[in-house]
Amino acid sequence: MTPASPRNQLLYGTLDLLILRTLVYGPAHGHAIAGHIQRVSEDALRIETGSLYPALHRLEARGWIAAKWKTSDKGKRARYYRLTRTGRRQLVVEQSRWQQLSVAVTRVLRPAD
Amino acid sequence: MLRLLYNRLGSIWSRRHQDAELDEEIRFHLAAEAEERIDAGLDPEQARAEAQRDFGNVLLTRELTREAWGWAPAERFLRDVGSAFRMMRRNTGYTCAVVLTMALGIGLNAPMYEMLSRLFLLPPPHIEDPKGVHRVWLSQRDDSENRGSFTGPAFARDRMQWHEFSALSADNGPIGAVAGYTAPRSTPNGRGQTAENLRVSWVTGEFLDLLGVEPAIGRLIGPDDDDAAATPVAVVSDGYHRERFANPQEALDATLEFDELTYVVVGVLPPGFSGPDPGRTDVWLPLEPAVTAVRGDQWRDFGSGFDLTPLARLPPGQTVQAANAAATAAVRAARADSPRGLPWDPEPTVALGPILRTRGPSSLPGQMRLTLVIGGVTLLVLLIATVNMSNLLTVRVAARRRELAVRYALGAGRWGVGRLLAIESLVLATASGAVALIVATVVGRLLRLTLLPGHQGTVDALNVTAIGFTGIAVLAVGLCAAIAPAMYAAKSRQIERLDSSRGARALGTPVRTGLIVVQTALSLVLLCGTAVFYRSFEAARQVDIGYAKEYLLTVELGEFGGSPLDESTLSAMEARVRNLPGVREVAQGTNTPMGRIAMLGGLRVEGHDSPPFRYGPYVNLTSTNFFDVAGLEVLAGRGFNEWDRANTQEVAVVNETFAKQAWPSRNPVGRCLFVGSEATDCTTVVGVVESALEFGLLATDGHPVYFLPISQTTSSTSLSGFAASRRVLIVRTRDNPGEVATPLLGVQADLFPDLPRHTVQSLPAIFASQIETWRIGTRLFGASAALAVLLAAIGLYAVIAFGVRQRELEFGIRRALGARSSRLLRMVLARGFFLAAVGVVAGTLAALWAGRFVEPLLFDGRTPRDPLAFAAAALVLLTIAVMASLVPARRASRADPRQALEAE
Repeated sequence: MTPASPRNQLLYGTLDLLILRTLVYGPAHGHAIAGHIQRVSEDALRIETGSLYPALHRLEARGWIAAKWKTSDKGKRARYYRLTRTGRRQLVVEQSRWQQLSVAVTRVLRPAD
Repeated sequence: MLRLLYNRLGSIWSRRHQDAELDEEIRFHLAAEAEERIDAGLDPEQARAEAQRDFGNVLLTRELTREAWGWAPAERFLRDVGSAFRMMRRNTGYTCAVVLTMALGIGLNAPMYEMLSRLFLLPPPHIEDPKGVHRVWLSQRDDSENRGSFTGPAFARDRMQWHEFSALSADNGPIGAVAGYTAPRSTPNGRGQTAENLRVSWVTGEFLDLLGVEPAIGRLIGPDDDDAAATPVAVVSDGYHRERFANPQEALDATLEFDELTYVVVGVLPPGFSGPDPGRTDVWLPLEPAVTAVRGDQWRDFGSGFDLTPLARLPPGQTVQAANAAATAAVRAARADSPRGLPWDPEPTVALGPILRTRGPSSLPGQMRLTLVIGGVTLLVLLIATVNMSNLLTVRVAARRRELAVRYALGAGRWGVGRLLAIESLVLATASGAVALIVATVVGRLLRLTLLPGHQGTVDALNVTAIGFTGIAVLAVGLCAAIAPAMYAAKSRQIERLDSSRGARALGTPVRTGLIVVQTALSLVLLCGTAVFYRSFEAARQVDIGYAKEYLLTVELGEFGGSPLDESTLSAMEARVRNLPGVREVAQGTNTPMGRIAMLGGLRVEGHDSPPFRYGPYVNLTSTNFFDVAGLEVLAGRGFNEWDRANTQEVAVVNETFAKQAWPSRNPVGRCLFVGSEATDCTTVVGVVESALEFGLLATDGHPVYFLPISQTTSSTSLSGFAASRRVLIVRTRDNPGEVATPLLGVQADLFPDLPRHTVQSLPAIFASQIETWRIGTRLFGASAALAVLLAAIGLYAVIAFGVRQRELEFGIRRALGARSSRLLRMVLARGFFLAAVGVVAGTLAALWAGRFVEPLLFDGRTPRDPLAFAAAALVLLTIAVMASLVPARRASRADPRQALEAE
């Protein structure tokens, strides 16, 4: 079966950046990552689970993040993701790429003088 | 990168584990989400429901996440293969039909391909740097009609006379090393009834060294051995060595006896070595002693009839063009030195070709062309089998519309279904390939024995080439066969509904019927080929060769050691043979009908200063009853009788060809022949007999022959010497000559204990070998055509039956509305007939075009576009098409109107 394209309201590739950025603060499980992004963006960005978990597993397969089962603070086993060394480097790359993009988009959107 | 690969591979093995983990991860997410809502004040039930709703499609998330793991393609592949196997198990009949037909298609082609590559592509084994060895071709023009000027078409042969060969090897410049050999000839080793026939090749002293072969045991034949004065030595093939000797040492001390000369075995060649040709060779002998033993000392003379095949290994850096020019100059110089008036083109050209004879500059010899045509035919069968498989797959797709519709609905894309079909097709092809290897082992052996008897390659039935071909064919066939069904499936997707029981009639019809038409057309081509070859075969079989070919047996006596035959022993033999049961009459001659024919120098013909013949004339010294026994009809004058004795008038009989060429406008009876160069006495021609075909089967093959009675040869020493050196008993039998052979051998063993068994030959056997090409052609075309027609019938049946099943409802309604069953029957039959008829038209056009490839193979310039053959082929095909559609047609005619009405 061919994969349906990820139903991602975010710009393609942005989700990866957000996940990597979130994990800078320390290991977190999927639910916490989604919650964090939602909170920090003041509910502007809602991460759909249909995109979140494929993205997490994809990043893991690329070796940018690593996963480990740990007991959560509420006493349940959860899969915690942490940033790897390559992941940190990738974050720098993604971040600068995003900044370039955002500057470019802002320029285009600037009202004509 | 490596870790990535490791991760992926690892993930394939631990997929169950990973699946469980993913489930747990998702469960945790749902629980955490619910908990959050409970904390916010919702009741647990509602919290869980909302969490679930927010999460969305769990299955889809899981599916998408799995994709991220990286083993999705592999998993999909395994799933598709599993599905293909389930499909095969569920439809055993269908699977068997496809696998069997494909196996036959591939199994025929694998050995064929192996054989063709051996003939045309692969260099012979154990030859050092085979690209550096060249076969030397001599191309000369024919002296077509007007004698003395060489303006006819040029023809190239890879043989030249000794003079020309030594001129080549004397040149040390651009040509480099030169060696020569004669093509292996069957020669008796030893004498008497126990003599074994070995394939013997004569080689110059440089030959084996030039090829660069290393002996397995002992040494090779060297330049010192190639001398009539040296101790005769021999080297033998590995095959013969194994067959004959228990251990290597025994082989080295053994002796072989050919043509009255004893050779000591000094070496054994490596396994598989057969010289520059693929044919079997048992023994290699040094040229000089061997030729001298057979032909005396005159074999070096120009026009002695002895020739050999030259090979050259160019010096490093030398171009073929320079070598060609040097060789041409050398051969022309040699011819310029030759005695005048000999019938050879003074300006031949020499060209160096690849070592494989089949690649040489001349046009393909008949046997090779036949092999190529047969190769084309088997490829056609493979094509038909592929089309058939494709067709059956398409029909299956149509029957599986519901399943495919479900797959589409579940999100499988066009590619997904295409991949599934390709994998199903490949799985079927692989199963066929396995069976094909069995077919290849059996058929391959037969095919090689029929097409290339005596070739070295008959040893290993199944080898790397054949297996490799099978592998590639499986892939190609599997993928090609999937194209049509995949296209059909993709098309049907657009109009697909889950309810597929109706409205299916029009779908896919163009693809399916197109395939049927192609298949029918290809079958028709093969049927036409069969018919055309059969007509040639029949025509050749009916040829009147002059001799009474059904009832003749010949025994060759003499021609060994030069010791003259004893007339009284000959008479005793004749008398004893005459009294054998089944023998009608016995005559003597010096020629073997359709076998051996002799020339004698110095015949002068009345009215001509030089012999007025292009070939010959040939002489046959016979007993007086020869014409009666051999079945030659006396056309004018008389044959010989018992009054033609030593002291009566010297008489001769000539054949029709002789008479026409010598005295075109005058009565030949009464003319004079002067036998012997000094003869002044007239030998009177007293009769003319019909011309027999001595070498080939075409009327143009007639050769001028004159006959003299043996009883009158005593007056001339040369004639009596000739008569005493060779004698052939011509035995006319009542029934099949084969039955007389055994008692005859008994008589021969008594009176001529030194003669080997194979001197006894029956004319039917000789004749059969002459018409072999057409026999093989008919059989192979016939077998292929039978297979092709069977495939076409299966395909047609499948399509018609499927169509009928799809329209069962419609037929029911038609019947309910009053259509008669005979009308429905006719309707379906007409459909099958129409499809076949379109195929016949297309096939006829294809066969008209393909005729050019077999044209040179047919007997006596017969046309491959024979209307009768084409009509017969079309009739067979149409009949079979109607028969194939008969079963489904009957089913249609019995459609139950009640069922139709209930379904509506």
